[in-house]
Amino acid sequence: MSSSSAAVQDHSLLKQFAARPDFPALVFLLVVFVGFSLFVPSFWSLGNLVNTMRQTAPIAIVALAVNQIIIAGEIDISMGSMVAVLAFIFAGISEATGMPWLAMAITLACGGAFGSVNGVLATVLGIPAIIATLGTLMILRGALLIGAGSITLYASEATRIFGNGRIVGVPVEVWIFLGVFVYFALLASQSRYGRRVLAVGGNARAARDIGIPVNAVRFWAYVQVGLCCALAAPVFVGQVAAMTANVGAGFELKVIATVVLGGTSLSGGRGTVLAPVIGAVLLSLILNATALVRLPPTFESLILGVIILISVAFIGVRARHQERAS
Amino acid sequence: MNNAPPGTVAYALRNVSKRFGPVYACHDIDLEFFHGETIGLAGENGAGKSTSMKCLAGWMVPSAGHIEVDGQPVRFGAPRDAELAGIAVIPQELDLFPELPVYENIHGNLKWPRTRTGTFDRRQVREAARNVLSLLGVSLDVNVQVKELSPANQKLVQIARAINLDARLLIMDEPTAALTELESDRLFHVINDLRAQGRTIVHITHKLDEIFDHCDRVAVLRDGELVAQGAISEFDAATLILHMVGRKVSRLYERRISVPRGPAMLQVEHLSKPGVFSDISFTLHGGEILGLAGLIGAGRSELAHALVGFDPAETGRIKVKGEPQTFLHVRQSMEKSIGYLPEERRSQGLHLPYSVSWNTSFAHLEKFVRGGFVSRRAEHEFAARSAREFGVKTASLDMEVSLLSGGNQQKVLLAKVLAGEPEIVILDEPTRGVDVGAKSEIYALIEQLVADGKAVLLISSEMEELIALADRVAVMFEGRLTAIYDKPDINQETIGSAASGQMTHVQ
Amino acid sequence: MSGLSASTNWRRFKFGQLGLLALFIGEIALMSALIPGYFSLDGLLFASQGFVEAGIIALGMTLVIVAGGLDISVGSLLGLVVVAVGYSSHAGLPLPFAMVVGLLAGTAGGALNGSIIALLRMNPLVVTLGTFALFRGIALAISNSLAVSGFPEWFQFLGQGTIGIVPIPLIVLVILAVVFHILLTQTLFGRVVYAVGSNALATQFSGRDPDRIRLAVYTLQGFLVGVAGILYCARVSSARGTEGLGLEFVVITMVIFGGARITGGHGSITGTVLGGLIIWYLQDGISFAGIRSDWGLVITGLFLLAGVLFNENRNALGVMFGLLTDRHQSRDDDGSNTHEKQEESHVESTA
Repeated sequence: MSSSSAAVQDHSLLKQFAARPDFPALVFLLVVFVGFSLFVPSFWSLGNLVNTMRQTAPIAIVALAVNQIIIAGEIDISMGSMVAVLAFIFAGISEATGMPWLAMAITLACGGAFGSVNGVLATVLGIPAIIATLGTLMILRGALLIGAGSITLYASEATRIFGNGRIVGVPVEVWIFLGVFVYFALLASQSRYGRRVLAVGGNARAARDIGIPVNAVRFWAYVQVGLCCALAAPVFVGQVAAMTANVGAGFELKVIATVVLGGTSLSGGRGTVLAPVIGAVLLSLILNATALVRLPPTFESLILGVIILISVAFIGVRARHQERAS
Repeated sequence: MNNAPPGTVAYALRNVSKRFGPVYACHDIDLEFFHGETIGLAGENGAGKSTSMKCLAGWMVPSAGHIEVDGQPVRFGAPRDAELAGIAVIPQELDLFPELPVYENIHGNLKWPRTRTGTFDRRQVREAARNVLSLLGVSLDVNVQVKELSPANQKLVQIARAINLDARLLIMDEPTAALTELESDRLFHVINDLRAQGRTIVHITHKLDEIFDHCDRVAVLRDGELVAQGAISEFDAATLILHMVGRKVSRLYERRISVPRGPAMLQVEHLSKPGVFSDISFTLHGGEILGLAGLIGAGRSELAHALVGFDPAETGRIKVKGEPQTFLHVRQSMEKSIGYLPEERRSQGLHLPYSVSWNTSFAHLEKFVRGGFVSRRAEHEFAARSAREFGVKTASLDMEVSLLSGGNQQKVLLAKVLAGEPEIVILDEPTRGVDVGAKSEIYALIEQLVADGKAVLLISSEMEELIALADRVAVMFEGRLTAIYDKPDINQETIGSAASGQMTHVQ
Repeated sequence: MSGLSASTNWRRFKFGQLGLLALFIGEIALMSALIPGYFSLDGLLFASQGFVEAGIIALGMTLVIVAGGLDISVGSLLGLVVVAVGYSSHAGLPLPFAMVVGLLAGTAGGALNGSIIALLRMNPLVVTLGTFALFRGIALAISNSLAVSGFPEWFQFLGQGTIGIVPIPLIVLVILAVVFHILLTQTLFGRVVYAVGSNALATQFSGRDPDRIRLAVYTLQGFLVGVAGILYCARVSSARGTEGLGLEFVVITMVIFGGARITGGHGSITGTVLGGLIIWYLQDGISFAGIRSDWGLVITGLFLLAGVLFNENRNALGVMFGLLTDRHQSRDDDGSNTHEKQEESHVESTA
């Protein structure tokens, strides 16, 4: 009887840590943080940092769900339209009934419904994810423009609590974000679903062969995106003074950029829960800093593009380097 | 594990048939599987091996007949039912999760145990994984990601997963396909242990010597029917092939033409690519078939890739007909009259959704361009001629190549590579996954190549093939060239020992 | 994919395109019947003007998607081209030179996409996401969201004039469509584009360079965006940095609806053009009938989804309509209907 030689365990703890997909993002975040603190005026002030966190919140909330969809090997680009429609639903119901919490509940249900539609299109009907969510992106935005195209919504104080209020001194949106983060962290590390998502994204055929309900896993991932959009929508309403039917355009760009910046691989099966958070913080810090140095807002798009391209190039080079080393 | 004495029937296929429309994929298969045995399942592609095993494992529902477990008829609605009955399939392709660690892969889709605080009890899962591996007589670091394991160890993890489900019948489809000889031996040790534990192994393979060396019984399928079964002692290679093919084939192949060795066509001098292969030197002459043997991972395909410019070497020289060349792109080697048949025909060679004629002409489309445009007529004529020459059996040249059998696909690929009439032909596993009938046809084609004065480098993992065809055999081991044998010295022992690094013999 | 006997491969392909043609004709007929005053040759040709920019870009997108790629930055690049043309002309450059600047800007943008995607082997979605923001950012930065107008008459004629009853931009589109159709179906280059999309690794082993092809298609795409941008300026007679928002989605819809697969290796110019016409004229008919144009977005989305579903199930539909026979269903060697690979294990090729 022969025994095989084990793969040599030469992974020191540091090496293992450095091999994490979100490691470069962490380093970059540290560099940015230190750099900005030193060179950007009024960056390092509590007010500014809290403000940055508040801006990050809606992006981060949705990015956590999109991160999971990408780990599952799929993609979703309909978030902007979903958030916009849900924001209007929320604001409308909250204004009409005066009960923002009831409105939140209904919005959640709607968000779940939208996510389910994406799920059905992508899993049951077999439409490639990018096309399916492109379709819902257009349909939802179009429907919103038809229904509310001429409206500018000014939400009342009460309706805006999810983006404007505080609980125990901490902004509500930060609480929501923390809740969502804890949910995803537990899901990833302690739940059967979290393991299944990695399996489905890593090798869908094999997952199916060992009995994992692949379509169900993917379906739920889409529903989660819908739910998180529903959680982010009231925050939007709270943070924005006046809302038109064009709200959230370009949101999906920011969310996907967030996930990519954090290091999650678009090919699936690999990623951490921390990644989108790092990405969201990075993104907000950079945008915040550009605002602080008085760059005109039209430059936001430019900066975003440059950041994405640099990080893309960096990830690409790193991946090639790792390939060569193995 | 069970206590039933070896020799009693554990599972059985009873008159199982599977129909697709008017076509029977397998018909009236009545086959028993005993405790504690290894039974080989032989047959050409399309014989029904896969279908009958899929019925056994619950992947398909038989159109007629039934499965028996311990003498009781059962009905499997889903693979999971068969799993619960102790039947597991170890497919040929990897169905593991490369990014996940070994213990997760072994545990598969089972529920994870939880600690008192409600979190996952990873320690227990790891422990269980180690236990299963020790049942196989193997020790691996269970924390390592599967993608970092060798193919042999990955195969062991696949088996471990099945054992973790307490499988009593393991259906292994070409388990040694991606394994070196040494690793195959180790695998067979593991299989023997499993057999001693009272389990049953079904060994599906094209490698007949494995059946003779390691199986107790053999069953042969042909055209969907069970044409022979019995103890292995009742068969020899010739009768086995006779049952499989339905006609007499005495040896694997006999070379008919003896060709004088021509001038040196390809000279390789001290070619090296650190970490992959080092200091490779040999000369390939026109009119000769130079075999290239070695274990998987020895670096043969990588050497071929360097020779054709797909993944160039770093140091050393390549000379074509005496002139030094540098190939940085495949096109450059093609221009110097080198043709390469890639190892994996589906992922590296063919464009599956496109037609036979499209595929045949693709590598040398320039030949069919008239006035700036691709002439479909010229292309079709060429494809028709090639199909005749190479014996491609297809209803039409417009048929998608994905629908052809493995043998025919390989012939199309060969026609494509030879379309440019290269003088140096490098063939990488030209008969892998090809049935016996098509194999001998391909051998005849190879012989014709050298008869025309071409130089052939034949990379193959099948000893028999090399022994039958090659004039000389070069052997690689861990990236080095350990031996080059002339015809009289070519046999299983010399090749095998050079391939495992135990002997060097360089002229 | 179901196997079909003999030449039905060709037939299935043609069935798809004929189906689109039939759909287009039927659509025009239906709208003419339902909407009074809709059907007039002048009117239909006039409506084609807006279609032309999207159509020209869609030609390039067809190449990109067939090669297995994707480009969501075309809308932003259009904005950039428009700004380049407008502002360089405004800055004093004679208009023909400004047009060249526009073409260069478009081609350079495409080349940027192509080089990053081909050289760094990065996911096209992510890269063009970056350039989507980058191009838009540059366009906005230069123009500061202000519009430029006042182009000479001959230029406006280019965009709004007609030869006979046919608008000039439409003629440009038709010429380009024919050129690209021939390029894709008859030339060696076209073959290799398909090859790269269906199996890049095999293409490499066959002596072709997938990276070069990818660079080429993205650059061609950029060039076509340049052409479209010039025509846009000519038609609208103004240049603003916000043009082309959302255009990429419409263009992708046209290509997919026309029969292309997002994974590459399938698709056609005629399909794209027909698909685009169908979508465009439906939107046109709707606005003509006085219904809100925001429905256009909804309709485009629905068409996208319907198009994909239709494409995936074309075989089933073909059988239904008796145009194709069910005789030789695709089978593996052992007769099973699942495409389990009995042969060698292998690593899937990465495109």
